[in-house]
Parts: sequence; C-alpha cells; structure tokens
Amino acid sequence: MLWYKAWLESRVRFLASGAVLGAYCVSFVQQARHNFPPIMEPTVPYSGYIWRGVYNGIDTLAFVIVAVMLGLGGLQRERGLGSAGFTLALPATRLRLLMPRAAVALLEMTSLAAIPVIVVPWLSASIGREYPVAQAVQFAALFVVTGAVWVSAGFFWSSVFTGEHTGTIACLLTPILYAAAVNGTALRRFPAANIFNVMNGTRLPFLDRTSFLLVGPLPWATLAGVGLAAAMLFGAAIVVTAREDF
Amino acid sequence: MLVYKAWRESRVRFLLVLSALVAFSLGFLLEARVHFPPPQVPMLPYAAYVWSTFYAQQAPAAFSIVALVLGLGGLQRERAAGTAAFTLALPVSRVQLLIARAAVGVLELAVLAIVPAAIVPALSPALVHQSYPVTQCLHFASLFMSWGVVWFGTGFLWSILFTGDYTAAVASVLTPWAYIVVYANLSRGGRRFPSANPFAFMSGEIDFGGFARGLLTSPLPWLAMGVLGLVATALLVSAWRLTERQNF
Repeated sequence: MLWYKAWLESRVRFLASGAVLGAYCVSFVQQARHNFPPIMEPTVPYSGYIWRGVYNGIDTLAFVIVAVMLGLGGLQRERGLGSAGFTLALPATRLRLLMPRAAVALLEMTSLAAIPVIVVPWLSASIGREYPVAQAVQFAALFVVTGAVWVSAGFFWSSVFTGEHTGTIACLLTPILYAAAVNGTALRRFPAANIFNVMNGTRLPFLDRTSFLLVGPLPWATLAGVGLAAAMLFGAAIVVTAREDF
Repeated sequence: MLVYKAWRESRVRFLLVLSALVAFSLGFLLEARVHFPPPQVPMLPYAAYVWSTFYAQQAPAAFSIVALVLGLGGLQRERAAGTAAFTLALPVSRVQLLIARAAVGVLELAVLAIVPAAIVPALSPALVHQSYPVTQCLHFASLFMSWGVVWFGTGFLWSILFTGDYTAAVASVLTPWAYIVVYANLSRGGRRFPSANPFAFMSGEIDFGGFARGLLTSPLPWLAMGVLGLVATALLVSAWRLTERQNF
C-alpha cells in the first residue's frame, strides 16, 4: 500500500516526463532524415550525431532535472497540505514510509533512462541508420547510476524544505550549481569528478572521441563512488526525517 | 499590500536564485583571474569567454527554468494549502491579485537578468584585468528577458491550470523541452524561424555578425522581441480569464 501511495504521488510527474523525453528522442532521431550529416561537420558519424543530441544535448539536462524532481514529495509536502498527521498515524515507521518513495522514484528514473534504449536503435533502423543496442544499454546504465544521485538530491531537499516551491527551486538549482562548480573551478582538472562527464563519457577515456561510442569497460570505481554519494544523500534524508517534528 | 504578499510568496525562490547567480558570477571572475586565457585557446577573446559562460550552452535553459518556476504560485496553490478563501475574501478583485503577482515576478526576473550586467563589467577590470562592455550585458539581458517573460507567462498559466502541487512545477520545467520538440519539427531542425528557437535567440546565436568574438554586433531584433512580448501578454491575459471563471 505504501508503494501504491508513492506511485500515486509521483505518477503525473513520471508520465509527463516520460512523454516529453520520449517525444524529444523520437523527434531528434527522425530529424536525422534532414539534418544528418550536419552541413557544418559532414564527417561526423551517426553515432556522434546521436551522442550529441541524446546523450550530451539538452536531453541530458532534461533527464537530470526530471530525476531531481522525481525525488520530491514526502512528509514535508504533506505537512504543507495538512495530511502529514494521517500518514504518520499509519502503523509504519518513518523509515518504512520513506523507503517505498525512494524505491519508486528510482524505478521511475530507471524507466526514463531506458527510453533511448528502445527509441534510438529501433527508430534509427526505421530511417536506414544503425545504432548498436549494446551502446544504448551502456549509456542507460550510466544514466541510471548518475541519475540516482539526482533523485537522492531531490529526496534530500524535500526532507529539508517545507515550502512547496522552495524545495523545487533548490532541486533545480542543484544540478546547475553543481555544473558551475565542476566546470568553473579547479575541479575542472578532474573530469571524473564531474557527474555530467560520467553520464556520457565526455573527457573520459571510456568514450572514443572519433566514433562517440563507449569503448572498454565502464568506469566501475567511479560509478561505485557515485552510488555511494546517492546512498549518503538518501541516508541523510532518512536521518533528517527521523528527527523532524511534524 | 498585494505586492508585498506576492513578494513574500516568491522571495525565497528569488533570493535562492539571486544568491546562486551572484556566487556563480564572482566564482567565474575569480576563476578567470587565474585561468584566463585558457591554455588550449590562448587567443580567445574575453568577450567570448564571458559569452560562453553566461549566455551560451546551458545558461538560456537554466534562465528559462528559473523564469518558469518564478511564475508558479497563486490561488491554486493557496487552495491546496487551504488559504485561498482568505485571499479571495480580501476586498480586491482577482485581476488585482494576478497583476501584483505578475508584476513582482517580472521584476524579479529582470533583476536576475541584469545581475551579470552589474557584476561582470564592474569587476572584470579589477579582478581579471580585462574589460567587458556594459551594453553587451544589457543587450543579452534584453534577449534573455524577451523569452524569459514568455516562460514566466507559461509558468503563470500552468500554476492556474493545475491544482497538484508538483504538477504545475513539472509541467513548467518540461515546457521548454516540449516546445523544442514542436519547434524542431516545424522548423525542419531549426532551419526556419530562427527567432522562435528560444535558446539560440537568448544566447545571441542568431546574430552571426560577431558570433566568433561572443559579441552582439547587429541591432536588437525589436520586432521579434515585440512579438514575444505580445505572446507573454496573451499568456497572462489567458491566466486572468481562467482565474476569473475558476470556482475555488
């Protein structure tokens, strides 16, 4: 029942995001009929065209923002609506209230990350181009692991802020400020510390800059670090909620 | 009093973004002090360096999202919080409530658009030993505001249409991407109607004259800006007409 509650709370966000991200992917691949190869760069391979549009374009920013927003909700929001008392009166601990919400948000984010796996290879074939499914799956894996950090950031902010739009704006600012910090400071010298780079291989050795395909094994150590950061944020949200006076 | 109410409702959002923007601008200048020009592009003009950070890449998208979120709030949100009846019982019309909220939101947006113009040209000579023209900042602020008011109007409209707390926020955040999908299809991948591409318009990429130097050289596209202003007005009027008919 708690899972169903979490699903009901987040389904509009998830379905709207899925519709827009799916439409964007479909539209971008279909545009290859007219726009590929690009006039300015006629030698770029089709995999490069896809990488730039789907895995390193504004679609990436949309995915990050949606992932952060999927983490929103919970008891602080219910406090604003006046229903926190009812939820807290359920025969379940606060931890048990939080876990299904986190799990549903992660599952939803995973589903969104899987959209290009279905759309890109299939639609590419329909326009006479080829994009390897294995590549799409690997990129999806990178998106899922890094997306977990964004979900956990949203989860954390929604545990801290009571104001409905305060949590939202904090969530939206998080990836923007993070990008500014890793691109505009000394951290720029450590590309692996930039989650945006890890998402799509930018400036990292596992992306071949000629074919724009992933080569070699995925950066498991980095991904483990990213997963650990997500777990820490989830843990912080749980601690904050456990001590909160509603 | 209504303006004060609108300010109270939106000030946390606005101040969070303002703080972030000021910190980002100062951080950029301190970074540029050490790392400008970048070793891989030693001949890069300072204007192009500023442009690539403040006005290109993800900056137009970030500003659009902020504009959309600043448009959120109002009576539907108050209905969810249970305070709509108190607000509606005030001796003012619904249009007065909306005008106050819209005016405060647009002013907040204008302040955010101008922040780089206040910081970068003023501090660049002292911190980076480079100069950047104020007029460029103001031109870019105008371009950002042209689409910014449209996004603000869109967020404003969504917040009146949707009752769900996060529904309006998500609809707002997804709007630019949904728009890009529609635009890309109608314009054959951006080949037609360049002014209708919000991100290219805001970053000045439609002005190819001084593009390589990151400077706007052509006059501002007043006609396109006027059309965008009309679109924003139409969105706000739609929001007003809907609010007039809503049953709280």
